[in-house]
Amino acid sequence: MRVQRHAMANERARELGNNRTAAERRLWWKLRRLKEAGIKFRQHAPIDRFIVDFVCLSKRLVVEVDGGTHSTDEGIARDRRREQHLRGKGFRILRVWNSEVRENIDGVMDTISDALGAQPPPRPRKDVARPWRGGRVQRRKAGHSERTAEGGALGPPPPASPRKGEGRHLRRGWVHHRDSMLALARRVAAAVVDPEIPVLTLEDLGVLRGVERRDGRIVVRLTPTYSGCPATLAIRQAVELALAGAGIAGAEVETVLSPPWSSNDISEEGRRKLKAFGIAPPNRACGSGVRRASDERGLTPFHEERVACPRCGSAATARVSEFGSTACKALWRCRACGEPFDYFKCL
Amino acid sequence: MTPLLEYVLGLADDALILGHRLSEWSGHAPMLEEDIALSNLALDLIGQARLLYAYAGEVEGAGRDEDAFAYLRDERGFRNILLVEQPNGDFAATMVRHLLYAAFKHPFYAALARSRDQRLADIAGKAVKEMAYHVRHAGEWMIRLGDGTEESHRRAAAALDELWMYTGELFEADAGAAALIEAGVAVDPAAIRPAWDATIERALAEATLKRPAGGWMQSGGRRGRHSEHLGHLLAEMQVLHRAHPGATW
Repeated sequence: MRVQRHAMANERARELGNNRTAAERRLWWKLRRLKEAGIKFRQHAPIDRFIVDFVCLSKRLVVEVDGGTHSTDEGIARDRRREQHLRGKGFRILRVWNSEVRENIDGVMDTISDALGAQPPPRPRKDVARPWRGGRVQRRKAGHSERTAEGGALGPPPPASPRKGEGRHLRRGWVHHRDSMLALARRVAAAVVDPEIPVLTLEDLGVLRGVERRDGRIVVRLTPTYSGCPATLAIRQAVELALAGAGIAGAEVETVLSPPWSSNDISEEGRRKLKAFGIAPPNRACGSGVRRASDERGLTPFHEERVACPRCGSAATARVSEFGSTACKALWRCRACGEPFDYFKCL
Repeated sequence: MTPLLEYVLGLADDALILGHRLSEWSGHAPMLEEDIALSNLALDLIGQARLLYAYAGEVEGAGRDEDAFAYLRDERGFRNILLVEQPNGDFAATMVRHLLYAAFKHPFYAALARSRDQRLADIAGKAVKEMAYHVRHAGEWMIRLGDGTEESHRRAAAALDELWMYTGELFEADAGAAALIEAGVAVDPAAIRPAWDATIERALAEATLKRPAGGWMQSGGRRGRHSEHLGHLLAEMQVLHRAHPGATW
């Protein structure tokens, strides 16, 4: 799939370059600075027969700055055709209003960074940076391979598929601004990775119980996995830091105990990621919160669990120890391929 | 102190002191897997203690936090039962002590999860899931040691005889607790007896160990009267915080 540059579109692009609106200049001034982070935007770039306001080719992201004209029926129909074509080429489209750029440039930039799948630049804070650094490295690596894979032909669309409604105007007036702030907070919190198992996000792990607005502040509700899990604090700090980095000031993290977390709360996506990471996902039979009769009565010694090897899939596995490197994992060994592996325990 | 505060502190102190005892094994357990297991079990207990202390602080309303309760009270202020403060002894003694404790706390937390006190119910709802594998782990070891070699059998039997007199306290309830039980906030420990008996009987049978005769039971922990071991434990646990108040790392 090659992006064609039409001669006429090129000409029009140059013309537009001299006619930039104040909002576009302002946004361009900000987008250019992302280059330092390895993200290159072009302004008034022609894509086939269309000219888009801004585009990041490597991330397949188009950003359009709209004024009043796009609100007319004809304008809307035109935008729709254009979006369909661009989507067909694997682009995601983000639309922002002139007024948003004028009044809330930081919010616009956060939304763009979010869409790029890149976290906002970390604010240096020595004491908490370490526990979740692993997660960041993981993300950068993913981004890097995506770029190199592109070469001549364009790579596959980025893993973060466009969310519903993202192609529309994100903010319109104060009410929408508040709602999108909440949505942004939810996305930022959900994307924070577990410091011990950096392939899982908080959403995958099922510990994010909700994000709400209370007395004008954003409140993120988290539940711990185990009562004494040392990652609880690191996760809390990572969420606070990520929210602050996304420009959401004064957010609060609240711990929720009930209903207690269960390994069944791990999403399908999370289970898939665990397996790909070499950790056998938890069996579903237990951990429902309802105790089995045998547990109520007391002891269940040498209880049997069947766990498939995450590497070769063999069922010929044996438990080495019920306790592993973290509270949530047990140590197992595969008799078929001989590899030791972690099993994410039922709880 | 209100009965509720006493009650919550008693539960928290049980968990903290036993958690600290288990943490003493870190780096000293008979093998690596067990070292990791004991540290994991210790973490669970300390985590439970923290949740309970945080609630105790709210109940008291005097601004004391988890650290104030754990590090700035003296022996007489602790409300834990005597069983949990007993020294680790050998590995068999640690496992026997743990089974005697966990076989009680598992059904206890299951009952407390239905408390009229929502916060206690929430904390218990998490703890019960953890205590299930505490029972399993200690039970498996009890069986392996009892039904193992002559030496391991002898050690497990000796630990059982030594620690049995501390099990009476598990089932005590003072006047304050009785009122809370009446109100549906606390759990009647007498009602936990059948479940505890069943677990212990089953483990002992498989372990080929004999249940010690009843006899005289030790008491006093819930009223702050402790064995000499608690003072030594606190000295080690609290020294850093007392020498450098508010120290963090």
